Amino acid sequence: MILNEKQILERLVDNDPERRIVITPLINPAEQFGPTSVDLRLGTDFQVIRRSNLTHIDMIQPAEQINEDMKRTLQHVKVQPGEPFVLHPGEFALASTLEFVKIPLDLAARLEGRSTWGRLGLQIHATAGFVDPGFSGALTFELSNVSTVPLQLYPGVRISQLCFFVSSRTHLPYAQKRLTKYSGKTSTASSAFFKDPEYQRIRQAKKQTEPVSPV
Amino acid sequence: MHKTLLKFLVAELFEKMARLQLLLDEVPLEKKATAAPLFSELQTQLTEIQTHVLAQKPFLTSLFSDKPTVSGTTVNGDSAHVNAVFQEAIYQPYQRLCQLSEWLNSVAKESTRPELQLFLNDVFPQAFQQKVIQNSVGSDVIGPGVILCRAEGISPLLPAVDLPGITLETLSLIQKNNPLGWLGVLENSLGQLCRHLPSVKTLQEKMKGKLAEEDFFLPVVKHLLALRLLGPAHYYFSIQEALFKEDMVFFEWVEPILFFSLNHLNFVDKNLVILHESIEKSREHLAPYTYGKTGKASKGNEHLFHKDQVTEILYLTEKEIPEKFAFTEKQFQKALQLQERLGLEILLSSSHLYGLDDVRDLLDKKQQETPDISVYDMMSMLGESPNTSREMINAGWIHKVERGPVWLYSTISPLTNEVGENNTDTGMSWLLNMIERRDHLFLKSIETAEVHQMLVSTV
Repeated sequence: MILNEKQILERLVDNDPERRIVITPLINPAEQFGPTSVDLRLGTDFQVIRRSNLTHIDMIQPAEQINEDMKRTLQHVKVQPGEPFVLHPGEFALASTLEFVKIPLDLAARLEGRSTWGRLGLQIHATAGFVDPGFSGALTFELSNVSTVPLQLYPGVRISQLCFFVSSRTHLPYAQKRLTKYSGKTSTASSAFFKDPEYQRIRQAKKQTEPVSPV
Repeated sequence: MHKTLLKFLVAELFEKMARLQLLLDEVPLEKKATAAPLFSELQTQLTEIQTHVLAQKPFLTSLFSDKPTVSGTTVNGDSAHVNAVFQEAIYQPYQRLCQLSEWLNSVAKESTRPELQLFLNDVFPQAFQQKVIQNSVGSDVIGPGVILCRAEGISPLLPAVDLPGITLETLSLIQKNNPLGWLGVLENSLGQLCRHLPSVKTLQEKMKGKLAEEDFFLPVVKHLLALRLLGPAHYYFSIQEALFKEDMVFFEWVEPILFFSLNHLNFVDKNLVILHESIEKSREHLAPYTYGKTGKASKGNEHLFHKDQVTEILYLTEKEIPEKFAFTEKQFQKALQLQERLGLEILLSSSHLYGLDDVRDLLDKKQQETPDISVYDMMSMLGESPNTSREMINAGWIHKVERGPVWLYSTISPLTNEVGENNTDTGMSWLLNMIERRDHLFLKSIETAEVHQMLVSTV
């Protein structure tokens, strides 16, 4: 079941902190609420990939090396309030919500774009719009401009909406999962794919199948 | 030194070590590659300092032992022995840390963060700068301009800047990402303010011959102006600075005046009182010259200034920094309320216009009175107002003073576990992670509040 605006409102003021949804700052609630969603705003920090010295992302290098490569190739862009971040056609950038969000254990959420921005060609996530029960932090946007004109994006603009679904109470909240990578982050977080255990396994498997060099 | 104060000092030392490590980690690989032996040596020496401090196991564990001691201190023995322990465990590592930060500062060439400007806009807004110009003798006093990163514990000679309204300030490199450590960037601007305000000169003339130590008049005025602008955060920040500088004058004379003024301004909470009492009990160590002669601690504010004189200076600061530019009692209350958010690591950028309990009650009442009330009308009660950088930074200091001992315990707890003797890295990793998370929280909160302010101020 998807929560309607009144149910969301009740959850925002719930007496029980465990059941309470946290969205802060709520700058103008009446403006932000829709029938079954709450609009979220664009934050101030962005990450773009510098391609000039990058041939490809080698997924099975040692994790530390990938981490260093990611640091080197990601450009962090901080936009001051009132200044735009320009997303060019075909460009991809990571960003995050201005708001801090906390989802209780008996709800899941889904982040979607707003049609206002969709009509201009802005996509706010590539594939990962689902938010697990127990998540807390800023939500990440995977921004793409699929139109033919550059888009000026200002911090504080409502570019997305969050809707909530009732779930059976989860046994292991997102933040407590052993391999959680993004919970509690308050700013834009880049991919930490290299921490996924399957890469370690692939690396090991590859090592075992590599031909032994003749002595 | 009394245990509470000592925990505060040791926690700060650990934080400084962790901050230097985080800065070193932050240096891009390309930059590190240009001076690889140097960065490698920096890392080696920093690890050595950490290992040395963590090796002071009896001292560190005694901070949390329940054994009653006569004076509530951790180290017993004559003062020479006590000083030797403190030098070994705190001051020598700190000096080495300062040297390393000087080294890093010279190669990393870091600049300050943009969020620092947002903090300065809050403390020295344009309107306040205009007021200061009107009131000052010359027209060259405005506020902080360019801010340079400097090494920890070092006050460099700054070049003269021949631009009206620009005051050069410095920030310890170690505090670059820490809004709680930004309070020192007002040092020169406040000094300028003291020297150029006619009312300060008039009061100085009036008090001439009546003060025990006339040289301390301007420094005391500067501290009280800072207190009026920054709230109790200035007190905490000044204490940590004075502890590392071993500034006896501060503890002997200035701290009691600051505590008296905090009471006058209603900026006192229970942890501040506990810290002050700990300073009182440590005065023998902090100001040994004046204490040692009589065997009794002198009461600073009575010794240097009479309470009436302090009140008169406070009145001056109230006149020069009117309520709309000052850190107010209402803001202090807000900072106290932000503790809950800090504890839950929730963004501090805003506060609800109404308490959640009030909103709940109001919602119930409204629904009973007007069953067909629009849900959108009810939502407006959930709105939030942006907090200022000063409110957030004060909340941060209040929270840190309360939680600091727990964080210190978590950092050194692997030491108390015999099995985990070789596992001291766990404690430091925990601290690094915690500091990094909190820094992000404060920085994001400051930025978010600015966007929030922009969106509501134009409605």
